[in-house]
Amino acid sequence: MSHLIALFSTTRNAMKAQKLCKQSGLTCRTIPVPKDLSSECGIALEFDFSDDQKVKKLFNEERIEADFHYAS
Amino acid sequence: MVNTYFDNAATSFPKPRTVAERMYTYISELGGTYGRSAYKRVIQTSEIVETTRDKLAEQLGVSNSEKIVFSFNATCALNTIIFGFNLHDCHVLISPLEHNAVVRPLEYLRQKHNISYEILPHYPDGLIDTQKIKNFLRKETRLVIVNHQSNVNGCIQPIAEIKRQIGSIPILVDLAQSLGHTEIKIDNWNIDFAAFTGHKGLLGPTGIGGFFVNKPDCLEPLLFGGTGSRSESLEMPAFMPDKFEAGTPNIAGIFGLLGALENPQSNLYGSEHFTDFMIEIEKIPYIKCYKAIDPITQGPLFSINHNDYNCSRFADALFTRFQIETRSGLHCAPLAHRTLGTFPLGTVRIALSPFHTPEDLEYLLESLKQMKTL
Repeated sequence: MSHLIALFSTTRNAMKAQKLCKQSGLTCRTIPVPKDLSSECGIALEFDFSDDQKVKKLFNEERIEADFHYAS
Repeated sequence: MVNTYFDNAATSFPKPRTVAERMYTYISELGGTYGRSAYKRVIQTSEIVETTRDKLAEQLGVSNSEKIVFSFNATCALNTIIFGFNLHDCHVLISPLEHNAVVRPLEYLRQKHNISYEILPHYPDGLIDTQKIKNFLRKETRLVIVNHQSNVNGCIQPIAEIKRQIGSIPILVDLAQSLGHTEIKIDNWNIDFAAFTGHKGLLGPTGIGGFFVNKPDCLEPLLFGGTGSRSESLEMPAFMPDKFEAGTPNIAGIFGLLGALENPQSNLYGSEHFTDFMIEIEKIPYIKCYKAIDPITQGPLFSINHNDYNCSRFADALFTRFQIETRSGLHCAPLAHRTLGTFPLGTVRIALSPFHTPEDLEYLLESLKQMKTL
């Protein structure tokens, strides 16, 4: 596992999460929702696996709902 | 140069420079859709859409931006709420100054879905008499609809007190004319639904508006289609704001609206100028003024009529002789004109902009003083 991928229910939530990560100094990349994870056509955020706990803690504190997946 | 445009209740003009600048940036430089893909252009554009939603929430006094939905205008927003609330076999109360954007959907529901609608108790200027509201409530009353600021005489309704009087019955507030001119406190006033447009008091472009819904579960969508979310499902998503935002939004309009929201305009005329201006107009012997009885409930628009000429002749003369642009007729609000005793002939409406100066008001006043005969 090298990456953590966060999926969101709405574009708004994805944008909110991306902005928050930027403000918190967490590096992320916006990617299309991977087809093997979901049939959605929206935006997902990809993080380095080493930030796994930091990302989850931040989302939890800021009440951002996300589905987390791992990818190599 | 004198600003002779007094039709700002139809649509505002001029706009802050930043409205066109933001729209130009989107159309000529940035582009991209809202959501649906993940490349940089889309992210930048989607960020602007969400920033605009947040700014609107601020302007409306709403703490949760996800309760704000974009639509194309206040009419579209009002239709979404009125038809989405599943009204049938029930009673609805409305203000005496409603626009056809509310009355026509209700009339349709009266004919097709067995609803009845009734006008709230009011004073001669259409201001709702809040002390008498409770006498009009029935056990089958499902919704109360109030035009916050009349588009005919500018009368501003006491929304917070109306909501207090109706208790748990939901209220829908039409903010088409008031937003941008009057402070709005949706959360504090305990509002259930509110519809607004971007191109009037907010000074944004046409084609962008929206609504607030406090409990989205009680409302069905009016439009169904792609949202860029839950695409595997043939049903609309239940979550906000996607539930009510099918199809690509008016992104250029949203950019323009942000340009307006980032640059709120203070009135170039003072409230004392406006008060004096109205007092002076009322002194003109051949002009009758239609306005709020109490100046505290007066918004920046009102109507006038000439004793000796009809409103279209009057408006035409104002333009041909003095280049003053106004709107004559019923202003899509026949109910309001019935309330004010100006149906079916209508009035000439004077609607100010924050960009008007005391000199512009003086020019209009002096022009009116020269119109004893047309």
